[in-house]
Amino acid sequence: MSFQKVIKEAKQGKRSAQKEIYIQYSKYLMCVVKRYVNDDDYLSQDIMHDGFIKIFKNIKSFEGSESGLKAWMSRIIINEALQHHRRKNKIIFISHTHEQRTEDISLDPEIFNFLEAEEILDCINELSETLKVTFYMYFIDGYKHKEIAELLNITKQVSRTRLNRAKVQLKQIFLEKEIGSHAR
Amino acid sequence: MQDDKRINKILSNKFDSQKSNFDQTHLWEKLESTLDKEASYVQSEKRNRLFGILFSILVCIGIFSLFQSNLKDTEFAQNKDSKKIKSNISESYLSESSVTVFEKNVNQTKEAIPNNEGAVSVLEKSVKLVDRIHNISSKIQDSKIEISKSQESDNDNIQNQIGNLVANSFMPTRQSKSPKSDLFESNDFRQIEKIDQVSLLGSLDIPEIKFHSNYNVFLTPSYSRGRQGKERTGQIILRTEALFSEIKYIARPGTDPNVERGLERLGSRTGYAHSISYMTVLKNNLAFSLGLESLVLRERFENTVSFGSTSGRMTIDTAFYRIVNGEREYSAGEVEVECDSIHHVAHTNKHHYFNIIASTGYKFALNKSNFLCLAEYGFNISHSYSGRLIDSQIRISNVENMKELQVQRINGILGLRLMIDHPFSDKVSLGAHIALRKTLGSGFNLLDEKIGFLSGGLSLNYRL
Repeated sequence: MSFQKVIKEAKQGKRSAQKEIYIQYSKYLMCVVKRYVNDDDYLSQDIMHDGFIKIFKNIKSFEGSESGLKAWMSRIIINEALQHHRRKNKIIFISHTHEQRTEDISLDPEIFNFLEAEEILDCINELSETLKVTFYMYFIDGYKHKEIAELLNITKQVSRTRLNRAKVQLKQIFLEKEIGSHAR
Repeated sequence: MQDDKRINKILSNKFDSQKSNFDQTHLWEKLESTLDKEASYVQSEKRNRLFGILFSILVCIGIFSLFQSNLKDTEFAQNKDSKKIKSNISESYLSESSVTVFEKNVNQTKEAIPNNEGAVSVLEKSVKLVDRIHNISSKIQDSKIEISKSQESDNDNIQNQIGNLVANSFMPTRQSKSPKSDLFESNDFRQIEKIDQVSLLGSLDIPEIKFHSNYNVFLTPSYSRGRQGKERTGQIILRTEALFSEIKYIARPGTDPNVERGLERLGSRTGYAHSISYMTVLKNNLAFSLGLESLVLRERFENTVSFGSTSGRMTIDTAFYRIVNGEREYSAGEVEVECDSIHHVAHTNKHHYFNIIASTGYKFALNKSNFLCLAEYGFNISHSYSGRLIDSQIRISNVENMKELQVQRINGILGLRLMIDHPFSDKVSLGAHIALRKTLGSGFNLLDEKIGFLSGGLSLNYRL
């Protein structure tokens, strides 16, 4: 079935089309969810369940290409993951408006080129919850600071500060693991 | 910044193709059952919504049809009464003894209407006519001919003639004298013997004036406080309404064009209302409300009618009095007023209603806002009316001596109210509403029956 036809039928609420979308994207979306919930299988499944319900409910409003659908679904799933976090108070998104402003830190992009995805995840998982979420949202899922600020209920400046702190800590982790020297 | 973009690109590519293995079938089964439940819930919601709308419509139709049937009954009763009066007159005059009774009535009327030679001559004519009828009936009895259908229609005509003559005998005629000096005299002359005898005048060619009111526009600031529970949401609503509208008389088809033009003049109606009500919305979105309302309406009608060279009569609904045993007895209702070539009339009315208003409806949940559709029905527990004819030159009232009149009448109320409520925070929301209401029932025939209200306004809602 062509993409357009699948979308059209999913908009009409046809179960077969919904299933096709689910089969095609659920593995990728599960990977996205797990990044935000530390590999918690039960919680991931709950988020996936609620996220897909929202996707099928709101698919009528979707207009776009296949890649657009993937990004649109990712956003819904990430939003759902953040909401779960909020509800279960796993991450307390406190708006630190007075968070100390740090200088912009730069990371060597080549390090990420050199590492495998799992190795990168291992390093990022060593960060604190708030920094990790900001890092994922900014570098992997492509959110802007403004969007991060809105979703996490913080200011843009706080988002920038957190990202810089994440970079500083990540640099430290790379140094400890002697990853940077390998890269060079 | 450039480094950030590069990192973003590298990481996006690396994680884009990443997939996580999990039990897809199990999650799909869960998803499918939730989707099924959602679908059935949506269907039941639609059913409930439809039921709510149908229920409201049915209630409205029910009340309206009840009102209509009530109206028909009233009309029928009125017609029946007037026919009864006519037939009573004819039956009594067909019998031997009734002639003397009628003569007695004529003499009494002569006494009741002093200085009216014209009326007396009319009465004498009517006595002669009754005698003739009596002779005809005795002939009919002698020949023992059965009454056929054609005879019945003849009898009807005769009865109408009698009715007209009797009505003429009670009807006021224009005084040629200057009215102001004889104000009290003309007032006495204007005594209405019985209101139901006015219906006899219907057979004459009198222009009848139908009262018409256009819709009133309300300005409605209101305030409400509510409490949200799991099963239902309660709200106390306090509302103040003010209104201003125009009213006008519309002449019935067939009325003299001069009269019609003259009467199509506007009057004004002002008023205000205070109400308190409690509204509750159940979990299944059905809404119920009950409240008490105090509504005050003031009407003023002023008009000049030109009848050209002829005189005419018109019926108005107002307060009037008659003298019974030397004392004034005040009443409300239709009064027939004889008009000069240029007739000026002005009268005011004040209505004070206490209404109990109940409503049922359905709440539609929009994106963030709520939309409520309510059918309103109620009745009027008290309606006090006071009215006075201010100026009618030679007619009815002496303004200084005219007392205000209080009467109680019961009306039904039927309406439709649409409300929308948009939340600004968890506690505060802004609402707007529009309402259409009709006052039904046995009000004054010409003035306050079927008054239509169109109101609208804003409200500020605070949830506890």
